[in-house]
Amino acid sequence: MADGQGHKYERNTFPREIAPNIFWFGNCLKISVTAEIMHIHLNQFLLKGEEKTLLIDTGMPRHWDSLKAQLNIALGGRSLDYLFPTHPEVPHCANIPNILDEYPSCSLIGDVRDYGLYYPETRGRALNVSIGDAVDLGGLKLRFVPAILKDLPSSLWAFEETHRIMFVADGFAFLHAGSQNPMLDEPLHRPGECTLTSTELGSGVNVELGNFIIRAALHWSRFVDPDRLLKEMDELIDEHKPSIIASAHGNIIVDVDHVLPMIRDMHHKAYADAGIPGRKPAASRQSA
Amino acid sequence: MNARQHNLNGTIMRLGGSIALDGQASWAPIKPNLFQPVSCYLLKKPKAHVLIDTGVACHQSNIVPAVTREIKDGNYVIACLTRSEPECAGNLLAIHENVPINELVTATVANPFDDYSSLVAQSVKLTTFPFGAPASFTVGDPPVLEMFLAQFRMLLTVWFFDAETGTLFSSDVFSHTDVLSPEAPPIITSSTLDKTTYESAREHILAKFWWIPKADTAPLGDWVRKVFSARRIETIAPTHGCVLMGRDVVDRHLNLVLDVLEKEGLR
Ligand SMILES: [Fe+2]
Ligand SMILES: [Fe+2]
Ligand SMILES: [Zn+2]
Ligand SMILES: [Zn+2]
Repeated sequence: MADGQGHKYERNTFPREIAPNIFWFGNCLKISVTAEIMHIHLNQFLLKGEEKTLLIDTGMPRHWDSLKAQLNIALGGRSLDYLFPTHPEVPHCANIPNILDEYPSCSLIGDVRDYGLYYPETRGRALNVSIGDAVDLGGLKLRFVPAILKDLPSSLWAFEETHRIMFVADGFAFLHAGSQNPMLDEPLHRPGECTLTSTELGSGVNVELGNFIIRAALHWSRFVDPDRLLKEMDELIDEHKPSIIASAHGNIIVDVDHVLPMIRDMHHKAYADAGIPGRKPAASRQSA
Repeated sequence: MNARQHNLNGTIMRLGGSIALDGQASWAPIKPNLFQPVSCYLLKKPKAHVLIDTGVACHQSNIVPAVTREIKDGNYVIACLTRSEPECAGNLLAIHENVPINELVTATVANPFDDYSSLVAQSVKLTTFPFGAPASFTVGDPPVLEMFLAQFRMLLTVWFFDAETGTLFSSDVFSHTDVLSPEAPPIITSSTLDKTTYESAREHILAKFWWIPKADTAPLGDWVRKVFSARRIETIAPTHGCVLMGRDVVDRHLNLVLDVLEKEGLR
């Protein structure tokens, strides 16, 4: 697709337009785990409505110049009206000061607890929402929904109703390759795969690896009954029927029906294989 | 203003402030007219000054001048973070601008989401929990603290233990207490009123560890019990909530945490 300035949003560069006026920004973190350089997705998304614009997540301070460049391309001269950090963890919120400085009329929106403690300068520029609230951007409408797969308690997911995109923060990290280092608590992919959707990636989902990474990144998944959790996830997905699932730490999922069962398997395995003695398999716990 | 600076036992100073439990913190329940201390700690060791966490940014004007005042003798400065969250690292760079930090100790910097590149550039020594290491690890040369990975946690968390004073730095666990006013001492001892009940502890713990009602919590209780049976813990110094001082106070709060894990988890 092209914008009014003649920019082309290509499949192998960020920003990538994943639906009309919805842009995928990325700044993969590159690390050498063994001999191989691995990438960790750190995605942000811009919703460019006819009236208002909204950015989801902030990335790390070290990526500010790159994020600013991607914002400039996608905004095409417009300003940023809202910043929605999905949760107050460094990769999702740490550029709040840079972004609010750059866009003096921008407000934080979401579950905005903690930011007044962490970034006192944001006090007076934050709009708290409740689950079910929506922000109408003009042609695009973002509804705040509960985060099912999350870490911090104030995490929120959001659903864009026009193009049916579910933004899931730490959930659904979609995995293709990776490291076995337990001190790395974020999911990995290979160079060259950064901007691809789930159906454009050549390799399939690595369930073994996914299981391992869920255990590392969402430590509680070793203890939480996956059936209870996945039931909540199914209810949310059934209610909204997203056509795209957009994760902060994975490739964009465009074949939701195909990928969902794999994500379910990963969560079952993360629990069953947690190495906790005497644990009954999740399925028999449910019927007990 | 807020409760600021308290000497715990000669070698440990508690620094920080307090926040109203009016819904501004996501880790705590809303409790009208109650407050919660948010803390960092300064340990004065013979060969090093050790900071455990650095406080939240909104308490910067309490913390940075106090740290600067206390560390003026050119001693080696070690900053230990229990978590790489803005709740713990909020004043790290502001402190470093006033009192150069020589060594930063975190669970990991192999996790590239922890952004300390400006410190690295200034040749701060980085110490991380060694990959594949045994259950615990010693910080400092000569050793000043024990560091171990927390199993009862949300994000990657390490707890620190000072064997000399029997003080456990437990980050966001044992953080289930609050106080009646912003000026109230952030310390519970056997001779102060402890208004904590099962119900109040439960509310605090579930506000942060949202998954407990869906979880098999027995392994977490076992882990907490092992932490306490392996060490002579006289004081618990969490990153938010009161400092818990004295064996009887420690035992009471240990039992509260174990009770909440047992009763609120799945059975
Ligand atoms: Fe997270
Ligand atoms: Fe994340
Ligand atoms: Zn990449
Ligand atoms: Zn199941």
